[in-house]
Amino acid sequence: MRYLLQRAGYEPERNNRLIMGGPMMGFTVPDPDVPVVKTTNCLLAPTEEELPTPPPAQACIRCGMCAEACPASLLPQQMFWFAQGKEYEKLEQHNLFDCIECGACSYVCPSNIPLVQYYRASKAEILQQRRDHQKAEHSRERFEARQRRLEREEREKEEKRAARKKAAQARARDSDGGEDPVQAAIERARAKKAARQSDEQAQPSPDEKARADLQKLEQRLQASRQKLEQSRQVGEADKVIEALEATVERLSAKVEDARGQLGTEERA
Amino acid sequence: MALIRITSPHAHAPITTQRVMLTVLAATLPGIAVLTWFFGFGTLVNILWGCVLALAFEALALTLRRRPLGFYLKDGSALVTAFLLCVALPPYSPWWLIAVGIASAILLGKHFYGGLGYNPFNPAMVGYVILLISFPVQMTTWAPPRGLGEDVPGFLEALRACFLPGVFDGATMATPLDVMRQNSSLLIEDLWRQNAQFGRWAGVGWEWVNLAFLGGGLWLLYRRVFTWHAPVAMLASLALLAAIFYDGGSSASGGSPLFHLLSGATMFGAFFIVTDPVTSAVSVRGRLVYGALIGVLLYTIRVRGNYPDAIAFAVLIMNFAAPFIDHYTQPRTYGHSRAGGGN
Repeated sequence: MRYLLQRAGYEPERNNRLIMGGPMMGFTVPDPDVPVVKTTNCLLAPTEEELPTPPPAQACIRCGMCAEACPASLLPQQMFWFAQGKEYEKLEQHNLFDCIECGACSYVCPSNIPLVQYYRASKAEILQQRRDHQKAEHSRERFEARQRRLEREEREKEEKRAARKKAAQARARDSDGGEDPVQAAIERARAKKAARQSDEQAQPSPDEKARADLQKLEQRLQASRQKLEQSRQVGEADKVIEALEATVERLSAKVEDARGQLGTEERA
Repeated sequence: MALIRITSPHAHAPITTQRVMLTVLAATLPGIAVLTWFFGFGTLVNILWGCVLALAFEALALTLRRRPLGFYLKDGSALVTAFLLCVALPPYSPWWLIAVGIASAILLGKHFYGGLGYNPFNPAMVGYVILLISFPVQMTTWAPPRGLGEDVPGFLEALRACFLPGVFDGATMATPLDVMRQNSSLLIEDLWRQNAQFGRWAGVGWEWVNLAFLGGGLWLLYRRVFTWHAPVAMLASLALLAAIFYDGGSSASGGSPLFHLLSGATMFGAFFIVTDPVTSAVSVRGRLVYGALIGVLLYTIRVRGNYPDAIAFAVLIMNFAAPFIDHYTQPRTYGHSRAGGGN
C-alpha cells in the first residue's frame, strides 16, 4: 500500500489519515505497510484541511436532523440518549440493529456527536450480553441435568437397597421362622466350596484328554480318506481332489504327532 | 508522523450548533424590528440587558459545574434563551424583572437539569411563567402601540425606564387579547368599533408583529432549521378551534381564527417556542401531535383561562407530555411492517 501511495504522490507529513473505503463508512488504517487486497476499493489520504479532525462533541439539542437523514427511519437522537444511559432494552425496541452504520446521522449532526460510534459500541455490548446470557443458560441446563442424574442414581440405589432388605427379610421368615442369616450364609459358602472340590475331581487327567483327542483325530482322518476315495471314483475336479489329499496328509501328520506325544508321556 | 485513527464517518457537513443558534437569532430580527417600531425601544433594551445577564448567568453556572467556559458559551444557546424571553416580556420592564426571568430561565430551566440538551422544559418559557406568576402586574402592562395615545418612547427613555425606578409612567393599555377575553356583552363587530386597539385583522401593531415573526419562521423553515410539522399543526388546531367557536361574532365568541392567528405571541410561539427541539417531541408524527395539542391548549387558556395569552403555559404543559408522545409515535423503521413503540 505504501508503494501505491508513493506512486500517487503521498506526503506522510501532510496526509495524517489513511482511510480504506469511502469517507462515510471507510475505516482508518493504522499503517501503510499492508497489502492491497480484493476488498481495497478506495484509499483516501486526506490532509487536515480536506477532512479535518472532528471537534469535540457538543450537547445533543435533539434538532432531529439525524432522524431526517436516517435511511432506515430510525430515531438516532433517541438511540443516542439510550446508548449514553446504557438502556439496551430501549435500544433494541428502537431497532438499533436495523442501523446500517452509514454515518449519515453523524454527518449532519450540528453538535459533532460521533453517533455511529455510540451505536457500534452499544451493539457490541448487547451482543456480548446475549452471548453471556446464552452461556449462563447452558451452564444452568448442564448443572440441572447433572443434578437430576445424581438424584436418579441415588433413588435407584435406594430402591435396590430397599428391595434387597425386603428379600432378606422374606427369606429369613421363610427358613423356619428365625434361622440365623449368618449361619445360613456360612452354610451357603460351605456348600459352594464342596461343589468346587467335586468339580476338580471330576476333571479328566491330561493323559485321558490326549487319548480322546487322538481318537477324534483318527476318526476325522478316516472320514476324509473316504471322501477322497469317493471323489476319485466319481471323477471330481483336480482342485477338489488336491484339496482333499492335502487335508488327509495334514490330518495324518497330526495323528502321528498326537501318537508321538502320547508315547513320550506314557514313557515319562 | 503517526496516522490518526478515527471511526467513520470521516466527512462532516459544514453545520454547527452555534450556526443553528445564530440562524434562529437572525430570524427573530424582523419581529424585533416591528416590535420596536410599534412599541418603542423597550424590547430592544430588554434584549440587550437580557443578553448580558444570560451570558453572565451561563458563565456562573458553568463555573460552578466546572465546565469549560469558552466551549459552552460559544454555542449561543444562552443568547437564544435571552432573546426569546426578552421578546416575550413587555417592553419597558424594570431591570430586576428581566434579571429574575433570565436567572430562572438559565439556572432553573436549564442548568439544574444538566445544561443544554437535558432540559425537559423550554428555559425561556420557564422564566416567563415564573415572572408571570410572581409579578402579574408588571408582566401584563403593555405600552400602547404607535398610533394610539402618546408618541412611542425613544431609546434613552427606554433605558431610563429599565434601569431607574419609577421613571416610566407612560400610558399602558390592555392588549387586544385582554379586551377580547373580558368582553361579555358586545358583539365582535361592536367591540371592534368601540376599542381603538383593534386594527384590520387583529390588534393594531400586533398583526404586523405576528406577520414579521411568521416571515422569520418561514425563513428558518427554508433554512431547514426545523420541520414544518409542529408549527403548522399548532396554527391549524388553533385556527380550527377558533373557527368552531367563532359563533358568528356574537358576544360569547372567542374571536375569529384570523384574530387568534395574528394576536399576541401566536406566530412567535409557533415558530420560535414550539419548535425548540430539545423540549419537543422527536418524530414527525410526534411533532404533529405535540403542535396540535399546544394549539388546543393555547385556545382553551386564551378564551377560558385566567391569562390573556397562553403560549408559555401551553408549551410547558406539552413539554411534560413530550416523552409520552415520543413513546407512542415511534416511526416505522425501514424493513419493518409495523411501527414500534407504545409497548
